[in-house]
Amino acid sequence: MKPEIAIIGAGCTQFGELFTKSYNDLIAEASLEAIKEAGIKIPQIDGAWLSTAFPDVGVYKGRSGLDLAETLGLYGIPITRVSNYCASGADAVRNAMNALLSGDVNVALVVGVEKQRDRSPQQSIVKMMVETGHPYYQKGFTAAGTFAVFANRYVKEFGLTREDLACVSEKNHKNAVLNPKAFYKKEIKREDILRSPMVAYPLTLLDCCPTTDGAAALILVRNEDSEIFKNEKPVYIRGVGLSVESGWDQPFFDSEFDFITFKGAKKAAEIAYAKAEISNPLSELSLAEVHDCFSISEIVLYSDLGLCKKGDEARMLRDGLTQRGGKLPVNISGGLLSCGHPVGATGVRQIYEITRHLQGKAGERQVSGAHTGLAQVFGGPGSVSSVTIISSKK
Amino acid sequence: MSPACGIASSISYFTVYSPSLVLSGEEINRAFGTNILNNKSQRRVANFDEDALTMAWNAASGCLEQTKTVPDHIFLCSNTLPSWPCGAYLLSSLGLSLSTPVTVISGSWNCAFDTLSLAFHTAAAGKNVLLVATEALSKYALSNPEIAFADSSCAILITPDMAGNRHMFKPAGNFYSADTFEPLICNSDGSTKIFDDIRFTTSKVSQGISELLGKIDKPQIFGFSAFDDKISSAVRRLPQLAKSRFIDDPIHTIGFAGCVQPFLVLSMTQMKHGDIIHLCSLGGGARITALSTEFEKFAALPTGQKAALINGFEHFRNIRTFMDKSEPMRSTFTSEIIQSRDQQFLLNLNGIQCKNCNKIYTIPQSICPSCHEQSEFIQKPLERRGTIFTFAHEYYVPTPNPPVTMLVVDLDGGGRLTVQAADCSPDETAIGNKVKFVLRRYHSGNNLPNYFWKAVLL
Repeated sequence: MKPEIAIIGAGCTQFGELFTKSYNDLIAEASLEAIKEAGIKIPQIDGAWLSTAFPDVGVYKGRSGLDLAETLGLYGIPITRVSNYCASGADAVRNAMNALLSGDVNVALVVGVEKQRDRSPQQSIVKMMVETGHPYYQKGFTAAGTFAVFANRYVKEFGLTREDLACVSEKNHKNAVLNPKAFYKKEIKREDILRSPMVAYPLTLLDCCPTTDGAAALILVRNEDSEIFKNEKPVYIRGVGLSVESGWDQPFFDSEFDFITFKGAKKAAEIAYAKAEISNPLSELSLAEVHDCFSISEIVLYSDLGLCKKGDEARMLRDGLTQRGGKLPVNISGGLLSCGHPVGATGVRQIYEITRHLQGKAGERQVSGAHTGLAQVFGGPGSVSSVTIISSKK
Repeated sequence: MSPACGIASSISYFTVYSPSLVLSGEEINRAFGTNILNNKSQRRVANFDEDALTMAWNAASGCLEQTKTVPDHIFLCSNTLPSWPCGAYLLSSLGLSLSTPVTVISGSWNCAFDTLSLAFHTAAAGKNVLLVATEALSKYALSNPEIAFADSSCAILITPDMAGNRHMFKPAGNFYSADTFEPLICNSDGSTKIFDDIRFTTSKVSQGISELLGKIDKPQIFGFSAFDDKISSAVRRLPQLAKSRFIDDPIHTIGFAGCVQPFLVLSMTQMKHGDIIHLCSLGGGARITALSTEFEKFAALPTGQKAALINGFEHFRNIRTFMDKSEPMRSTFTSEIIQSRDQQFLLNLNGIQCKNCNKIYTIPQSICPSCHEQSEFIQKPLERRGTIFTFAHEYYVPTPNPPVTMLVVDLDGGGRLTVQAADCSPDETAIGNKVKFVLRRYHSGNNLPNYFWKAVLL
């Protein structure tokens, strides 16, 4: 059954090193853009969700929905903080949808926000696994390393090359040139990607997304209510799937895990496609924003999302099917590799991006004739995954 | 002296562990601007993640693996063990019952002979004894070239006397002299100080040994546990040793490894049936111990012999001081409680197997994630070898030898474990390669030891 939810407002801050802005500033900026587009007043919001995955900026900051209440003066309503690794943003949207569909909430605000650049890179999540976590389990992995193990399996099984990986980063950086909100708006040549410092073999620095500040927000209502509000171009969520598969522990301790499939993404896509009645995603989708936290992720996701057969990903990439002007442009925003990855915000930013294309308001980077888009995020090496299908039609 | 009247037990197996890293005498001379060491001499030194305990494990596991023996008692002889409960860590990592008695003996380089004596007596009383000697001394080489310390360990399985494999142990003599007492003072910070007149000490040592030799039969084989070339040369020239086979090889090939040294000398004697060896060690004075054998071969199996030359003294300094650095990088959120709970299965490498679906897990489960039955699990000792399924070379993980290679290893006999690789370069690692696990130190967060497995290529 289709979820029957409309997005009537969307907002997104600049993504980047936002040293002059605080966590709360980012919430305010993204929320106000969405609220303005929806044509509502703040007190009309009767339920809100705050997505922050790594609230490490202060002792309390981002650990509950309180920051949303205090920033917007949004008191006396239920606000829930959602933390589900890198899928937090998309899961906040899913939770808001369910509250709307149950009738508990009529106008929902979802804000995803993360402030990663207030700290030095050494304190960032990239090294979290090295320094913290269990004393023994996988001690020594960076986030990049937990994806490099997939890349090395792909090299072994399908002959993937470092050039193939660099192709992903090259494509997404090229796309980002037209996205004013991207962190890096610069083309980067394949040879420069290959030459950049090795982080976790075979992934170089430019195969990895940066740590970033940013926020994005959405106003959601039930389809039947969408006409009450002034937004002339609402878009509609037609399907959402969230799947939690084995993550930090099991793949690394379960000999049946193959390291060539993100099971969570595959399952989430199946659920979302079924709800949205999509049987051939490559033909039926106009664009996709996928979780290219590392270049290898986008490659593996092509097959997990049903866009090609397992092992055909590199060919799909080299044939240009997923580039601007291709059959299905992937990460037209520049993806996480160029926009950066403020963890709690990413899932919401992807939906913001799709929304703008479906509304025809994506400016220079507009995918012409876009009618249906896919947003996919995952976290905890591919384990907690969400796929959202959005359409310009009800 | 007649060794035949000593304590009879059987040295059933003997393993020596020498770490793979090699520091050349030339490098030490260059670093200190001296020519005190023979340029051709070498010092075996432990990697950054090794210490006296991990090396003890190396030697002990080699010995037990070969002999398939469960020891009744372990004597652990060392002056450089960390202050953690080493006996418990050793028992867990060897997969032995925690009720096995472990006696730790330390106090002098001469404690080797105290340990040997206790081990022989205990074995003679009908017990299988594992004697483990281990020293991590190379940190003292950071501040002084006079005696370039080395790291090494050995394990000896001593069993009750058996026909055809009998060894006799008997102390032959001791002398104590304030003048020879520890010519070197080792401070806890790794610095050393030599007594003013090393030559005076050298002459006192050789004089004392000469007096001792006057009281015993002329040795066939004299194994000398030398500090350095100078003392060794002085003792070698003693007239009483003119017709003896003089063995001091380890000082040239491994270095001085404290209480392990007499055993290293022993491992190089190639004793034959009927030989009597007099072993001499130095410490709080000198001691000579006689050992005779009625066994044809005296087998020592050295492990970890793959040699890798350290590229310069400064790199050696980085390796040796890496674990002591108190940068934030070393802090972790580990706790005593997590450790006590998880070490139980992790150091033992005891996996579990679901009784319902037979699936093997290397980390604890409450409910079988495969069949979802809240079934009983049975303990499943895991194989300590396996095959690399996939890997990643981590260039931003702190280590003195970048990169850190992470390995996902499928264990022979079932189960999977993810660990760091040890003692190998990235180009040696490939999917499908065979590895075995070795005990190493990871870090010391919250002042807690973190001993865990790493994998070395087979």
